[in-house]
Amino acid sequence: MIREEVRVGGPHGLHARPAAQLVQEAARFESRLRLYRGERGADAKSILEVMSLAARPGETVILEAEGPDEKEAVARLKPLIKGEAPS
Amino acid sequence: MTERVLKGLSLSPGEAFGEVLWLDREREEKDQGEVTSGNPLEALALAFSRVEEDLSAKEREAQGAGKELLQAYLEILKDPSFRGAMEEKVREGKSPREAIEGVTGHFKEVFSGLEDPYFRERARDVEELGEKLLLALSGKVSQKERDLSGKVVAARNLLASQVASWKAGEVKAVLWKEGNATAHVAILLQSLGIPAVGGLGEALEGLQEGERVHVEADLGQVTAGVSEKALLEGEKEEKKEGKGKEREEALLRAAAAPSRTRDGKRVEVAANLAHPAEAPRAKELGAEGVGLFRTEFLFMERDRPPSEEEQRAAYREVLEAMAPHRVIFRTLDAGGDKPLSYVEFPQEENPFLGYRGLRVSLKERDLFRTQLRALLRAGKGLSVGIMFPMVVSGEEVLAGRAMVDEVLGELGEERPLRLEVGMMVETPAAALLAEELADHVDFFSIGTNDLTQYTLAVDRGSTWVSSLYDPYHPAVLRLIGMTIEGAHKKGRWVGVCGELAGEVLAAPLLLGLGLDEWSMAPQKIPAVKRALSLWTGDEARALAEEALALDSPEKVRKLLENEARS
Repeated sequence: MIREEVRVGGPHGLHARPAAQLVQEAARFESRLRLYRGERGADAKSILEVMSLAARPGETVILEAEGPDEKEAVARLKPLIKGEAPS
Repeated sequence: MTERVLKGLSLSPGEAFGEVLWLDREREEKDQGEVTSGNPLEALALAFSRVEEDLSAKEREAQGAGKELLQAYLEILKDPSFRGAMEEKVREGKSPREAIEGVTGHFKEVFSGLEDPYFRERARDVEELGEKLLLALSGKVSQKERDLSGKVVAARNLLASQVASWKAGEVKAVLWKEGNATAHVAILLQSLGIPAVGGLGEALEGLQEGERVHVEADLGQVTAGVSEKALLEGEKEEKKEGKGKEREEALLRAAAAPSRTRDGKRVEVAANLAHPAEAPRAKELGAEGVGLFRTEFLFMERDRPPSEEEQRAAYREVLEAMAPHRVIFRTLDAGGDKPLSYVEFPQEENPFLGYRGLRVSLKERDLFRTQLRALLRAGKGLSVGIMFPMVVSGEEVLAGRAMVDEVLGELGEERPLRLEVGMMVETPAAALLAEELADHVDFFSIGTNDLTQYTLAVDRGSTWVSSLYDPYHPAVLRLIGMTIEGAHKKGRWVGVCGELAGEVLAAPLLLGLGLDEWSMAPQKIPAVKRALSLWTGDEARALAEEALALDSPEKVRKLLENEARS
């Protein structure tokens, strides 16, 4: 299992569009992917759960991945949370 | 049929004549006619595929903000925590209806509880999808798409997903039973430029299919039962305006430039806003700043006051959208006519002469302090104006300013690059004392709507006397003149943020009185900028002098109409 802290970027944080991108990307991985902001946790494959974290720019979230492709998943999702264009 | 007037709220500005088309009068209530036959899991799947099909078709047609909204909806439909959770409930023995209501209810609650207004708004998205699924379940989703072009659409329920696929210029106007200006639907209608009046309530039910109406959305007013002749004339007028489309485009291009009078003097033309989402459109229309940002939207219709952080984020959004221009925020303007559940208001015979505006802020000090902290922090590195509503004497301004200074003292680096503190001039008292009050402020902003009411002793909402309400009354104009003169003596600047600022007819008059800043509904900016460019300062001064010497608003209007330039 991998756990990494990521700082949220983008003009409005994880709002509809970035959340949708994140979720679409997350759906491609087999691993269980979760995001945590403080005590709240969310399934990174659910747009409603990701948006309900209400993560704003500058805040830190924890990305947790567990499964066969966890390494690649973390590498792909991190830039999306940071608000960087997907590589 | 005789004419009758329906009063509602302005959701999206503009004017239109047309015939009513009822969008949903025929529709059954959503809890009737459920599909109960067959396997409940299949029924749920069918509802999902119907809604998805409907939304995908609309998404292909839609553009801009509407398209993005529909894409987000489609993504939610695929969400395992949404659909998956419903399927789980059905497997547990719940009916598809119960499953949809249970899961959407859960997410609605989650989002409603969030602090951030952007994310809290998502509760509406979930609610809307839930409604669509329930409708689909009862077989009602694919109601025949009707041709709405050229019609004034009346609706009991209006969903953002419906409006998202409309095109600018197709629907003439919208009349909605519910709604407020910050609802998703209203913001979409604004971006499409479709005039809309909401909050019409039961009065809307009196409208007949095909009935002729005149919609004046700026006033939140609908006149029903207009004659065929009036309708034709109105439409002819619209066509003329349509022919003036090129002119309108030229106006818009010209509005991109800074505003100047004919003799080259810079004047400022700014926008009145009530929600951060309106800022980008205002900038497109040539706003050189925000002269009045109404902060009430953050405070209304909720059980507890907004937090400092929620406010800061909203204020920051407007400031960033308008940068490098200045944004002037009016501190909370609540009163007995628009009470807040978490603030105690007295029972008053006349709330307009009662506990309101700065009078409330100076008593509810924690609420005031939090708002000021949020405003000042939001302004980090930018240009911020703060003004107090409903001021009649120097002590009040000084008390307000003292609070600003106190809060500034608590803040570190997080403060505006440039801060101006001003006050509204809405009462004859403030106008008469302008020169003295100018010692305590950086600027004045004249609220001509209230100033007119208080000066003429006319409640514009009272139909028996409202015809006496007229901001062109020479007494009101003299008070405006006095305010400007008093401020200029002390080197302060003056703006008008009432409706008068948005009137082309008044532009040379206000210029002649020496006004420095005009602030108005964004869509009025291009025409007022042009009107100001047609006059020199000297010409306008001569006109204003003549107007101030008259004894009735009728004579003033007549003079201005005769002298109008185009």
